[in-house]
Amino acid sequence: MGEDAFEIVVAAHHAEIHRYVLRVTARSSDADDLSQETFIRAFRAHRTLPPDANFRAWLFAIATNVCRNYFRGEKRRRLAYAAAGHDAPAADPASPDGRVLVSEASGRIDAIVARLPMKQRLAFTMRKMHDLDYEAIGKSLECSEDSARAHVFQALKKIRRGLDELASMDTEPVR
Amino acid sequence: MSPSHPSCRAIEPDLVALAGGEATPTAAQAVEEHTAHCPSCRDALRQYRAVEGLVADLRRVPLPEVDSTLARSSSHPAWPICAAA
Repeated sequence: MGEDAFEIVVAAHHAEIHRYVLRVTARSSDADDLSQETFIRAFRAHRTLPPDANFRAWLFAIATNVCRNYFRGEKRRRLAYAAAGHDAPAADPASPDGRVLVSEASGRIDAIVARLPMKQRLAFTMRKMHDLDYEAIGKSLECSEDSARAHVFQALKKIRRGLDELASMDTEPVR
Repeated sequence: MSPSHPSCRAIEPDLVALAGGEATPTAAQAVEEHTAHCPSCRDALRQYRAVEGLVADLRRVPLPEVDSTLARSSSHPAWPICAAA
């Protein structure tokens, strides 16, 4: 793929990749950096991509890898803060920067998703927010299609139970 | 039946698939047969459908626009085209 063609596909996918990264990190400042890093990596590697490759799925795979590295770094940072006896600054998963949620319930889903294990969160976001197929999700997460499906299933199961628990708490009488 | 019953645990992936519009005809049939006599799985299916509706709402939530200057790179000055995305 030539550089002109690369620019065309970047223009087509940049906003979506940024939304994906923002959804999984819930921090717009980090999402800017991570989507930028995704496209720098893509630019460096795009000449090796076969002409018939699914460019969108490939970009999601790069973005997913960048996000996984980010989460690993965050985990190390939290451990370092904990070792030093401090709380690491955390994103507010219920209200990512600048977002206005359409309903309280959808905000609750956002909060539950933010607490899912990393692979479940990434798989859920790719499938339910960006309509990637399970094959592409499996490639992004370096697992089988069936495992990708299982990650999405586990995520939905936890979301359903999380909402159910919250609904039960809402209906408990105030003492 | 209770949600911990083996047949309820076994049908749960199909409930999720049906709620998400991904069930095969065989899975959809199995769900129909199971939920016909299992109130707890019928309720679970209703909840999974509600989750799918909320997820659809969440997809419509506007996210902050990407900062067009971030699509540029000093090493790739031709990238401003990204700003149009």
